[in-house]
Amino acid sequence: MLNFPPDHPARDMQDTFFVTSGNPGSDVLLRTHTSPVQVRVMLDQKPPIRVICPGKVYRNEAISSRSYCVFHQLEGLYIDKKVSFADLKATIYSFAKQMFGTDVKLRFRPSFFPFTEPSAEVDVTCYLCGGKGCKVCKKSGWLEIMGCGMVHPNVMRNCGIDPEEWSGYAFGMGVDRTVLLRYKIDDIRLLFENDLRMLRQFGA
Amino acid sequence: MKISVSWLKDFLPSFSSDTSSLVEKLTFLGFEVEEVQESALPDDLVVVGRIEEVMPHPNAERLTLCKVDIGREAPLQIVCGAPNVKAGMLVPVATEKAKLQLPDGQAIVIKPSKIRGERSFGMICASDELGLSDDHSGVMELDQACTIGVPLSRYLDGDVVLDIAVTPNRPDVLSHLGVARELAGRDRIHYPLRQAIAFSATAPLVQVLDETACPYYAGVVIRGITVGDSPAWLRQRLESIGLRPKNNIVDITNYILHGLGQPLHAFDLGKLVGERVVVRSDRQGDFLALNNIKYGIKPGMATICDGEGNVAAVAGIMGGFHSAVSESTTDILLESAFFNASSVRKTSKELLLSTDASYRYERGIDAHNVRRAAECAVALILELAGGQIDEAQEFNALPDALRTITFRPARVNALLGTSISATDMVEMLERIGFSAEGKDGESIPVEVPSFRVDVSGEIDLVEEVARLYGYDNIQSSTQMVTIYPESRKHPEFFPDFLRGIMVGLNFREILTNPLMKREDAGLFSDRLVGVLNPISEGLEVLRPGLVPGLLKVVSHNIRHGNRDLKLFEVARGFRSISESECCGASPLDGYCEQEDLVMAMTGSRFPRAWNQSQEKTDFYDLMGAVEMLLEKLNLLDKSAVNIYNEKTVSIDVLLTAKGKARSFRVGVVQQVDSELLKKFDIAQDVYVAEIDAAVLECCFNPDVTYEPPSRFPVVLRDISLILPQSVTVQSLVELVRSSDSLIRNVSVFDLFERASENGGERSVALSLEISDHSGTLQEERISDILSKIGSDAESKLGAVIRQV
Repeated sequence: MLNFPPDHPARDMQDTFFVTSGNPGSDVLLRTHTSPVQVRVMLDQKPPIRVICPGKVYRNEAISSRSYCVFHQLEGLYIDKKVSFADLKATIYSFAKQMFGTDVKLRFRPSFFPFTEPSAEVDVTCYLCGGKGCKVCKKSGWLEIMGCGMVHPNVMRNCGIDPEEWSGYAFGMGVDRTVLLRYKIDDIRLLFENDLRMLRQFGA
Repeated sequence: MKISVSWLKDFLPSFSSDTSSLVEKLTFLGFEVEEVQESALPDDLVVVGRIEEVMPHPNAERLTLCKVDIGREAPLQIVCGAPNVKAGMLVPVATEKAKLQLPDGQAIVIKPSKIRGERSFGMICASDELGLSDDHSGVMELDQACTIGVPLSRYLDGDVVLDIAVTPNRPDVLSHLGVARELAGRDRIHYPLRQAIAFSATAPLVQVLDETACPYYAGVVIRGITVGDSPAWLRQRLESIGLRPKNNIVDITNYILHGLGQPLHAFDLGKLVGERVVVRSDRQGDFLALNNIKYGIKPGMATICDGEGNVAAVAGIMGGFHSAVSESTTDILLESAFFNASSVRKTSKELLLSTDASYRYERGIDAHNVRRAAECAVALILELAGGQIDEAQEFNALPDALRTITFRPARVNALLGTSISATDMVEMLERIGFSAEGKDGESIPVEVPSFRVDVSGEIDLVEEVARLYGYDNIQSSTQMVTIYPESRKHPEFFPDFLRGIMVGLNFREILTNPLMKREDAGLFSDRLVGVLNPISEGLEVLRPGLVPGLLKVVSHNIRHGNRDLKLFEVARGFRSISESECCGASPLDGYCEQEDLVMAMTGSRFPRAWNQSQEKTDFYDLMGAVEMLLEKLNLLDKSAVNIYNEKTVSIDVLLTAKGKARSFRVGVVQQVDSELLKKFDIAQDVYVAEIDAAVLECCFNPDVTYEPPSRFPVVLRDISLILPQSVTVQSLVELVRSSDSLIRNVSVFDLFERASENGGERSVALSLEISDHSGTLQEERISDILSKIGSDAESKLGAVIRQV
């Protein structure tokens, strides 16, 4: 559905948790990203489509200050007539300005996701060094905040949408990571510890 | 993947760029640079010196006294311990104050000293002492063309090594050649020298039994080689990207792999029975690989075998230990093949063995590069190891034809939101190896270069144009779409609506890990969903509900000094359903996933303050919070409380739809059992409510049906009853409330308990609100209501009216 060839190495990009099966003989896993939600929306609804889907996702990675086995993703999908990459950029800029301030700087880098093409990763100026380069941004001055791209025609076709008539973009970001960036929190585990001394600061 | 910039220059001699713009260029082409290593050049106080004279050290047998000319008036005396110093040699000399970083990590500053009684004014350096290699066999001998006294760094090229992340769709960039192609622009790529090879198609050297796994195989036999160390330039190339040189033959295959992207393998021909190879997928048994680890080969795995069926290599993954090239090897068979990507991937996964070769085969190699790589490797082997080509054979021929894809420039611009001319698009594509027939028209056919295995449709060319044009050059559109939803359901997202209410009730939201310890989860349910591949022992099951996580957070906070807590979480719990209960055939029907709202209260009711008494929070505080939530949802009037025992109640909502009343279990409020609290290290009372968010949502009706307030007076009456201890107050309140439709509200305003011979009794005082919306209530009607309450309470609950 998401244009992953069955045994393509792109499938290695996520490390998955499998769970004990309710029905014997079937693999059930904890989702590694929220993109399947987009597919379900595309299967269920006719374009134009505009959705935001937030949710928990699971990755079987060692827990550290920078990665946790559970986190939250937020994805957006927009399919309409004459949607272009320029529209995608405008949307992401609009979001970034509200999130990180009006003078935020972004850069779009070409990247690869099986379900979008062209695909991009979006970086924001490093909050710690302001772009000069430091340990957090690995001296690049930039921090990645999301992946996005134009919905791949194969994904649309798989969902019964004619890519000649419609086009669209999708984006996805890690909510937790964005929170860390926004508030300069240096350890993702703090988000799951629920210490009152932390919660109080956010009025939560 | 590591890329050495000086190696890149072998392919692009005129390439020049400072590191930061190179990093930026690669980044915007879609290759993230994860690390930059710039090799440090030696200090400028390390200069070229000429050894004038070597004398024995009077007090040490292994040391020598050298007189070294470094272009100053008088030569320096330096004590040296290296075995290879001799007069006339040009060597690097670290002079006074030169800073060196020794291989053991120690930083030193050169100063004049006395060694075993003899004065020494500097240090003659080995190349490892200058950070140039790990060679410590003797001092570094410099070319006689170097000028004495000049800093050594002038004669060295500092290399820059980049660690580049290549996305899985771009196997063509997994080599220096591939990166060079991306950077070439209009420059021509320079390939290494090739040795023309006359391949036969019939010799008995190569036989392929599994053509699916191996569509093409080229084997070249070279006899009479001398295996030995590679020359310095080759060793440096490999070392620069972190590979350890082995011997000239193995180094050449690695050099071609990382240079051209084609995996090669050299077999010791003498170790192949029959001096031939057979590609087959029917072998079984143990195979000792080059890395000295045994792997179990199974039928279905493509292998390269000798004439007797002994496995000499796992196709595209790793060669065997026994047929590896060693110092005694004189004849080799060089393999350059095209193995099927998914066949290599399958075997690599099964054997849990991933190599530089399999990594490239899995992603897809360039068919047109297979033979060229063999020719380059053979040229190098003949040059560096000698020998002669004895025979060469190809199995199959690789297809020459290239794919053609048609693209529509208008479509490209529509998808990108740009207005790039067709000519510019074609020019960009041609820069990276595509070739177009014609430069304009509505649709332009483009020939895809053989190395671009990822390009299969028009959309791929859209991406190429976007990438080369530069994402940053695509201007954001100026008009944003305004969205008018078809209908605005209220609330749009129920869990968030609940969160808003709970925050309004002064509860703090928490967020816990759905993965938890089996032991903790087991206290709450025996239908756990386990994780088959947990990261650690503490995270091996999915939570059956939210209470365990909630109690852990309570415990954590108490431990950190926060004893007064009001917490909530809205999230899902997971339980497995037994096979007999499971009704669907979908794999997901075996689970029950429930969205809950949980709340916890513990500690003091109020913050400590001069005007408030220190009271503990209790069950009724939490009940109050739950009732306020129900009130917010317009459900309080429809809710009923069922008391299990003093510590637990459940709450139902009664709804009437189409004349039928149905009861929905919304949740449970309880004081947590102290034994359970002990397991979480909690020593104070904790009250917990578990609300089923989905049930609540389906009961919730945001539409308000307005009822005008009654214009007639409300009558307030108090009654007092004595209840047997066995009857709950709640049942009395419900009985009273439902005894007449004019009773609008019932509340308990006094409660008194006393022990007696027959098990004790309660005296309960109730306040009733009675009103009739159609007229002023008459006294008779009121007494009718009260006497009905009295008789009902007596007959159904055994209560006695004390006073009306």
